[in-house]
Amino acid sequence: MQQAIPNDKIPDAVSILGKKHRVVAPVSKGKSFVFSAIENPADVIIDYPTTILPLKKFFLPPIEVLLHYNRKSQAVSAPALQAEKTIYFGIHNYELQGLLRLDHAFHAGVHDDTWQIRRQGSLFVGVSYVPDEHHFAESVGIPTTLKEGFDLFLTRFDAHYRVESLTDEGAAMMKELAPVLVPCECAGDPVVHFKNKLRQSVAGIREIFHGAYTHPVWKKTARECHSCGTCNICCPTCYCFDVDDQTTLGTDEGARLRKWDSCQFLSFTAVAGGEAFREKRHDRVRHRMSRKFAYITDEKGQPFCVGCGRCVRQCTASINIVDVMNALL
Amino acid sequence: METKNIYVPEIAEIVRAEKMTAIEAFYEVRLPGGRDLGHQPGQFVQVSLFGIGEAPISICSSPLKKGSFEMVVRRVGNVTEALHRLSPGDKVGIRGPFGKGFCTEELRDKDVLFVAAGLGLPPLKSLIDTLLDEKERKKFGRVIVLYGAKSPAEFLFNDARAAWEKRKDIDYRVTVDRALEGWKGHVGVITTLIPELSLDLGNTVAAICGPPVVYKYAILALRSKGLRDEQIYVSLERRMKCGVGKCGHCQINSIYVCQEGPVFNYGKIRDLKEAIQ
Repeated sequence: MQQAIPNDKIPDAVSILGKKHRVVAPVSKGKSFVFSAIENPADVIIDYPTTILPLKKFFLPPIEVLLHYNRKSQAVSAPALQAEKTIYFGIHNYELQGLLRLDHAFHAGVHDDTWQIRRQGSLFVGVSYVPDEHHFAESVGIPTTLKEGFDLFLTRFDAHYRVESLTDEGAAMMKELAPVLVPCECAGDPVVHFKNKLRQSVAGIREIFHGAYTHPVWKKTARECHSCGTCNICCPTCYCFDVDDQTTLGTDEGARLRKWDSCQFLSFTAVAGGEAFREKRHDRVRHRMSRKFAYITDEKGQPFCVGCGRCVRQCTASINIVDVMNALL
Repeated sequence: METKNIYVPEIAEIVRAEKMTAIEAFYEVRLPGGRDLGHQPGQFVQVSLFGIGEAPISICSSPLKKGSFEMVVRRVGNVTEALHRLSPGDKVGIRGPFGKGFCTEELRDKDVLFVAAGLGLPPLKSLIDTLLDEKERKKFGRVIVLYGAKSPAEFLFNDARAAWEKRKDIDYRVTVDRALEGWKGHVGVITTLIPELSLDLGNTVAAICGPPVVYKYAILALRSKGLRDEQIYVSLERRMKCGVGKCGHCQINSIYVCQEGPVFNYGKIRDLKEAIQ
């Protein structure tokens, strides 16, 4: 016999888990959804298409202090980071795959410990989802049944969520959740269909990219693209950043800040003096896509795209990355 | 847990600051306790001025120089503008050295031909000084330095170059794009110095550094001289913001210049699109 949480008991489950740890979960924001630290468990909505920003915002904040300085005394100190034990609740599997890709990015070569420290003490409670017209995770090797990285996984059946424990931490959470659990007979995983999909499996895409440097699709896409950078900002695997000093007005105290950046901006490659190395918009469009499907894939063996569909949903020029890819395949 | 923050610079002191041209200045920098930077010729550091920012600057002194290192800064952006206002005794933040430079072991017994255009001379001077060092000189073959500037007013390292002119163990040639009154030397872009060279083709390595336009033509000139791509090294400029292979700004296709460069064997990046314009 398996165990499940009835749909109407989800707030109670969040309430139980929230007694010990901070809980981050999806909540509504206007017509959209966002991941937010939960104060009122009734706010949690785990039946959602996707959130505006991915989970990376908790581990690589949009703006963060790298160091504090005093420009007069030259005193410099790094903020002492502490990981707050947090349960990320109601997370789709592609979301966690995005974090696993970034684990690689921040550990490969020189270790960036700021990421590592924030990742410590994170627990993940996954939830199944029904793909909408934008999701294409299956095409990039992430079927809805993939549960890698989760401690607990909730699978939606009609009136309840089946609960599976996948780690010791998950088993401990399951014990705590005993008051809201009911027995259920819900074997297997629901069958889902993706409407947005690549014409061929992800396996050979890397090679195709390496041979597609001058493909007409880059210029065609660039004619539509506004270089607004939305696709980078909402991407779970984009992590490029800029660094900027901000001194508090009227003082010598300030902070060096790390901020999310976009490879779609002309300024991204510009050196002092004005020379930019990806001057043409189609060069920048190709660079972003190549980072997703060729450059880092060569090294990691997996695409740096998790098929969340955010860049499709949020593109200000209605560009669908899947259409761009399909033009190459 | 204590953060080991790779973005925190060390505070170093400027011990010498000299104006070189209208827009370039020379700095000698001392790390705390006079500790050696421990760099390879061709590597760079991130120089910080708190409240302004950080800029990647090539090291122009040889690793054999102890107690301090040197750099040339062109006043061209916010950080370099502010650097130009500094004097001996002032402090700067230093991170690095970063990237891959020249491996002097690989140059052992080789003839080394430098093609340095404009601000391309400082990054190469780190290696030139190493090869010309009294104790090291006999480990290497001929040292040929081609140096080009737009005009004589833009010449860097006047004292060092005057010494090169006198030395018998270096073939130093200079050209300017535009002659000013009184200039008696060669006139023409730097590549015009290449055809007249006589090289031991089997035993020569070339190193190119200059503005983006120089690489393509210098490589063509060296190839038509008979050098293979594997005998040519290029030092490339990109926007190296973090220095640790994360921020993405310096990427050429999949390559992070701050990690795998700025010095590259041209034979290895020949097919890397976006590398040479």
